[in-house]
Formats: sequence, C-alpha cells, structure tokens
Amino acid sequence: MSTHHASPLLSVRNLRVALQTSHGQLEALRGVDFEMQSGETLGLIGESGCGKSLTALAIMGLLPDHASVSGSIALHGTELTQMSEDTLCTLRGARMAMIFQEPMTALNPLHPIWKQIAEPLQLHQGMDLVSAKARALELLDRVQLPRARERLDNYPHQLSGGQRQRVMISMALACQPDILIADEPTTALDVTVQKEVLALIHQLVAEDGMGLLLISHNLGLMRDQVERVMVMYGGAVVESASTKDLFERRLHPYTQGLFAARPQLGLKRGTRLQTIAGNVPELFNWPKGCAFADRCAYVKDSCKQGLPPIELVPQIVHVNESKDKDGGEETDKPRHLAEHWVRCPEWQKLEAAA
Amino acid sequence: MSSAPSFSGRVQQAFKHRSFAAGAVIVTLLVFSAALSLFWTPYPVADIDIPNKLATASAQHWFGTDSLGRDIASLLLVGSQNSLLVGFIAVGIGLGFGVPLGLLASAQRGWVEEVVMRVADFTFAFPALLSAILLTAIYGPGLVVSITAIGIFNIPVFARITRGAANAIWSRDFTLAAKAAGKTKWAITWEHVLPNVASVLIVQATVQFAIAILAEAALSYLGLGTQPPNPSWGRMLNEAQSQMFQAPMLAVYPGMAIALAVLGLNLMGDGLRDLLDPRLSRTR
Amino acid sequence: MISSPDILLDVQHLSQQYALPKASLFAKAGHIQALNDVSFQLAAGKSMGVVGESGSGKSTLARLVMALEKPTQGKVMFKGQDLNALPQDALRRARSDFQMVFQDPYGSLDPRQKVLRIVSEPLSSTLNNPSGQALNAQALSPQDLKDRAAQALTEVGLRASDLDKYPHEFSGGQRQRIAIARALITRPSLIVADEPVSALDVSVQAQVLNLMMDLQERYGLSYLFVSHDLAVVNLMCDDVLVLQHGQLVEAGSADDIFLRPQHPYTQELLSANTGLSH
Repeated sequence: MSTHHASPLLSVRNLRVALQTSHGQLEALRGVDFEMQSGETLGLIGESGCGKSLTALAIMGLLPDHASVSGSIALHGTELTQMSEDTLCTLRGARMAMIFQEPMTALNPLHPIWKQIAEPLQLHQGMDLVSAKARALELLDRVQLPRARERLDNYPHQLSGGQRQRVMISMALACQPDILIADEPTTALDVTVQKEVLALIHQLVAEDGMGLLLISHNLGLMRDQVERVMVMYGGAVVESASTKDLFERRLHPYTQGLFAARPQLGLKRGTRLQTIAGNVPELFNWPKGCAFADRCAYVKDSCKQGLPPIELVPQIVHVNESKDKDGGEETDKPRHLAEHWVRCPEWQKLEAAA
Repeated sequence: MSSAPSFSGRVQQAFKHRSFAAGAVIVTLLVFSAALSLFWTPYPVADIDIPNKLATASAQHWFGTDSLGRDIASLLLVGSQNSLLVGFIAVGIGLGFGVPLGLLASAQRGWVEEVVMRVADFTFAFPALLSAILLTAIYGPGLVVSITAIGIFNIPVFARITRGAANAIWSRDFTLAAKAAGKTKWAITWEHVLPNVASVLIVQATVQFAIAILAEAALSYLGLGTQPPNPSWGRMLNEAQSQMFQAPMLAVYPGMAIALAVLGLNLMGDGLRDLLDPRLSRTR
Repeated sequence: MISSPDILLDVQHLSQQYALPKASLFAKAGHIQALNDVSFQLAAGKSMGVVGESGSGKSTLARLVMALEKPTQGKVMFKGQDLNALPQDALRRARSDFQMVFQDPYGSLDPRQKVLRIVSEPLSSTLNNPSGQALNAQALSPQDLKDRAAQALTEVGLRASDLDKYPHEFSGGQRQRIAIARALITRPSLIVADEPVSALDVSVQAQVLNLMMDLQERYGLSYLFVSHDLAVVNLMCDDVLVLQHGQLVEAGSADDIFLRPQHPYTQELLSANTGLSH
C-alpha cells in the first residue's frame, strides 16, 4: 500500500520563518520539527496566529516575498528550501498538492471547472485537452460529484460550497501527489457537508497511499481524521502525540486549556466554560521565551528566558496494540507515531493534576 | 494591540512612498509658484519688449522671451495660477454635485439610483472637450465658461465612483448596526458611508485635477479658454506654433509645465491610493 | 404556546420572499422563499436558539426580528407592539429596547470611528430608554455619553481608556466585546445575536460566551441566539428552533431537541455535529 522510501515523505527540521513588516523583522515560525511517512495522516491544530497556515505555505514554497525561511524542508529527501521557483513549480500540483479553506476564492470564477481540473494535468503530465477533459470527468466521479458529466462545463458560482470543495480536491489529486496539505478544508462548509467532504478526503488519501497534513482549529475534526496531532502556539509546536493519546491526556497547559474551553453537547445550560486567562500575544510579536508564559498557571522564570526545548515524554508504548483503520490485521506501527512530545518543563505537574 | 499612528507619523510614512513623495514635491512646487506669482514675478506679464523678442534663455530672462518680448518665466508662473484655479474649481464642482448625487443613488437604490446613473451615462456619452467647446461657443469664451464646462463633466465621474464605493460600504455590517441603533438613512450616509468613501474620492480628485488642467490647456490652445491678456499655458502653446522654426523652445516650456503638473498630480494620486486603501482593508 | 404576560417577542407567521434578478427583460422575476410561515414566542429573561445551515433563513429571521427588513407576510410583535406597523420615529425609539450583535467582528464596527462613537451610537439616536423615562438625546451631554460608554466597556471586560482607540487596534474577540457593549448600552430587553462567536477562536469563544451568560444573569436579558453550532446553542439557550430551507421543522426546549430529536433533519444535524465537535 505505501511505497517504501529510504527517506521519510516529508521532513521538516528547525523551520524558521521571519516576516519583514513595517515594524521590523518578526519571527513567525520559531523552529518547527516533524516528520511524515508515506500514507501517514498528520493533524496540525492551533488558533489564529499560531503559524499553522504559514507552515503549510512554507512547505509548498508559497510564502510571500517578504518572508525569509531558514531550516530544512525535504520531500522524499529532496531539499525544498533552496529550490528555484521553476523547480518548485514542477513539484507543486504534481508531487505535493494543497487545498484551501475558501473554495470560492480558490477557484477561478471565469473558467469552467473541467478546465481548472485539466490545468495540472496539462501542465505536469503533458496531456492534451481532450484526454484532460476525460480525465477530469473521471476525477469528478471519484470525488462523488453528483451528475458530474453535466457539471463539467459549470462555473464555480453555479456549484454549492461542498461541490466546489470537491472540485478543489479533484484538482489536488489530479496528478496523484505524494502529499496532500488541507488547510481548513471544511471550515467554510455546513456541518452536514463537512462530514461528507472529510470522509471523502479520508477515503481518497487511504486509496492512494498519500500523506495527509490536515490543518484545522477544530479539535473534534482531528479525532476521526488523523493518526497524529501536533498542537501549535506562538509559532512553535507545543505538543505532539497520537490522536488517541492526545484525547486521553494533554501535557501542555495550552492544550489543556484548549480542550477545556470547548462547549460540548452534554454541558448543562449556563455552565461557564473554562477559559485560558489573558490573550494571544500580538501577531508574531512573541516574547523571548515561551509564548504562553504570561497566560500559564505553571510558569517558571526559566520559561521566560528562552523557548523551552521539546521533550519526549517517556510512556508505556503498546506499539503492537494499535489496529489498522480498516480494522484488519495488527500492524507494527512505527515507533514515532506513538511518541508523545511536549514543550513544557512542567509537564509532570500537569500529568499529576489531570 | 498596535496603536494608531499619529497624523505626523502617518505623514512621515507617506513620504517614504516614492510616488507620493515625488508627486507631492512637484505639486508643492506648482502651488508655490502660483502663490509666489501673486506677489512677484521676474517681470510684469503685461510688459511688452519688442526689441528683445524671441530671446533665448539668459541671466535676465531665465526662459527667454516670446514673440512680444514678454518674459516666459513670468508667464509660466502666472499661468500656474490659472491652472490651479481651474483644477480646484472644476474638481470642486464635480465633488460638490457628483458626490451627493452618488450618495443619494446609493442610499435610495431603486428608481432613484437608475435615474441618477442613466443621467450620468448620458453625460458621459457626450465627448467632454467638444461639449466644452460647444458651451463656450454659446456663452462666449473665457475662464469662467471653460471652468464651468470642465466642472460639469466632472459631476458624473464623481457620481459614479461615489455610488460604487458607497454600495460596497452599505453591504458592510456596521451600516446595519447603525440602522439597528436607530439612525436614519441620511445620518448613516453622513456619519458612516461618506468617511469610508473619502479615500477613494481623494485619489480620484487628484486624477481629475490633472485632467482639468489638461482640458483647460486644450481649450486655451483653441482660444476658447482664458482670454488675453491673462497668461495661460495652453495659449502659450498656440502662440508658440507660429514661431516653431525660429524659437522652438517657446513650445517646450509651457508644454513641460503642463506635463510636469499632470505628472506630479498623477504620482501623488497613485501614492495616495496605495497609502489610503490598504490601511483600511489590511488591518486583520 | 403558553400565553403569559411577559412574552417579550411574538413572531406570527413570518414569511420573507426575495426577488431574484430577472433572467431577461420580459421574463417574470423569480423569487426565493427565505422564510416560510415561522411562528414562535420568546419569554422575558429566556433565550431562544435558532439553528440551521446556510440557506435555512436564520439570518433572515434575525434581521426581521430586528425590523431591519419588512417581511412579505407575518408580524413581529415586540412587547405587544407590531414593529412593522409603527411609524418611523416610534420604531426608532423602540429600538433602544432590542439590539443586535453581528457575526463578523471586522465588519460590524466602522473602521473610521473611534470606539467611543461606536459604542455610544445607540444612545445618540434614541429618545427614551426602556424604563420609560423620556431621555431627550440632547439632554445627554458629551460627558454623559462618555461615562455611559466607559461603563459599557468595563461591563464587557475592556477598559475606559479603550474609548479613544480605533477598531483595528483590537483583536477579533475584543471587537466582539465592543459590539456587545454597543448592544448593551441602552439596556435592552432583547439582544439578537447572529452567530456572535462563529468567527472567533475556541479559547476566545469561551470568553465571549461566558461574558454573554454573565450579562444575561446580571441584566435579565433575553437572547435570540442564531448559530450553526449546536453545542453553543445548547449551552446558551432554553429553547431551540430548527430551520431548514426557510421552514421551521422542529421547535422545543433545548433538552428535547438535543436529547430526543424528532425530525429527521434535526437528527441529521445532531449526528453531523457530534462527529465533529467533541
């Protein structure tokens, strides 16, 4: 199912992004590290300004001109950060694809949808118009767009939000990329449609053995969609664990606060939600140390001196226990999937308090 | 969060913008020349000095003299008064009538909007310069008539632009919030819509100013604008035509003055567009 | 429906049609039925949630209740008065008793005005406050306005010094607080909230929801709370209306709707929601 490569599908090492603004150089990403294997699904969760979308854009090489990148991003061992724009263009759409939050603005309102799907096919696979159109129809069927044949010539405004998102997905998958990055793919959609679109993404990713990097602010979404979750705050990853583990225990004060702040259906009317004291610091204006320091109940002086390193939480890892999503044979999941990392020197206190 | 920049802070920021800075310098020069010429010119513009006619640039006459011996530098300076006056009044007419019409159309929608816009379209259908010529033919040439003619053609420009910008503002929630607070349509137009379309209007005003100067120069060139003995850059061009082979520079100086004025205004307008608009839409 | 003396809002057979642009000059203009025969009552001090997806008509309902639009059919009775039958200035006076909070914290505040002006807007245009006292707008001196505005800001957790700032100096959550302060300043009995927290981050959402609950307890407010998020509606509201394509498909207490949904659409909404928010 997943092709075995010597190097991981995606390897991000000490990714730092700085933005040049009228207020000077601001650090937007402060050292993001992670790895993805082929066929893995990884979730990236965080609130506005944490840097999750920037991470995705950095991987795709789509950062604005005034951004400077340092660190390493490697796709199947090929280093992306120093690549020329031309070479990157050959990779985008072909080996790595992205779908965005707002399908109406991500699709060109002046082109019929078949043309937009055909574009990557013509560009990367050199298909002629006729075969591209035929392939576009196949792709639309695959994303379960109802009455696809009739809809080929439709313009984006003639489709609903969910349908437009399906078109975007088919565009992304057209050249069967190795990795799909989905940046809030269902946030702009109705709840009932969200479920369908997520299920679709899940199915297609599994069928093609692609890696999936799913970005969202919605915790509930992560639970069913990804094997592993990274929580971001203040331009850095503050906690990372398997989904199952993260939903069972949180070891970073921010993650705890985030989970506790959600309204849930079981709550009694009028229950006050648990809030995280204070506010998110000004956009990209992180303090020297941990960005969460002045909102944290467990803060120590050392936290403010410098960004705490991310630590591996020792745990009893039942590596052979986890079952495959298809509910079939037990697979020997790679060790790193079950690892729980946290960027907080006080995590033991949190574990005790939980 | 970030504090609002003070006015002087914003002015400082504005001058970092190259287009705006260059344009502002040129326009200031223009205004300064006009102001200066009210009190002093190297030579009185009415002074005819036939023996010294068609002189080339020298220490006594920085740009030389024309076919009647008048000092060109002085003519250019006083001519700038003319251009500025036309610009201000013509744009003033356009703003004064066009903006309220546009705001009215946007606030009322329905048939009122239709009528205002169709009248504007109708006015656009007439070629502005020819219509100005027609008006001067009817009412006689002169500064007042030419300013009025140019001004009238500014009205539909501003009406249309105001309506478009105002429609965008009406679709924003804060106008609905004002209505929910009990404000009348007119109060909302005055307090919310107008301040938010002001930046668009300012930019357009600089563009129309430049167009007005060009239009007046054209009318004066044709002899329909400012009448002698009042100096006008356009008329200087006309007078220079007959001297094309003896003193070609006579055409260059007023031409350059016109071009420079238009350039300065356009640069400033470009700069203003960049400075004023993103500030509003990018603060997320 | 129980008719009791303190029915704040009585919506009767409300329908709203919008004309579509004509396909060609002589074709008949089509129309969209945004709302179809919706009726409900809201008692004083209680909260009513309105749930539905896009196209359900919930935002249209909010605007009609606020008398920002005239309905094609039906009545909106607020404290016994038919809002659409009132003459213009009587309606404007009545508005001090019902206010609205909008979804988009970036669009609902005029970027060109300072917070003082934004928050005191309902005061500067109304002529009496709900307790019946005639409060001539001219009688409110600039200092009075400033004091009232400062008070409103502190009630929502901001500072009096924030009066002098512009909206772009605040975060989304803070802007929503400003919007709430504006809605509160005339001490209304009803606040219509159209997706007030949907555009906010989870942690900020929690703060704003807590604030809204506190304010309700302190001032005996009623909320008409429009949202697509069932968990939020369950937390904030006593009763719920479920809208689909402009129709009221189910209505009842929050417990009834969320624990024992009857209508298939309600059930579908619930299952979709629980799959995502947990």
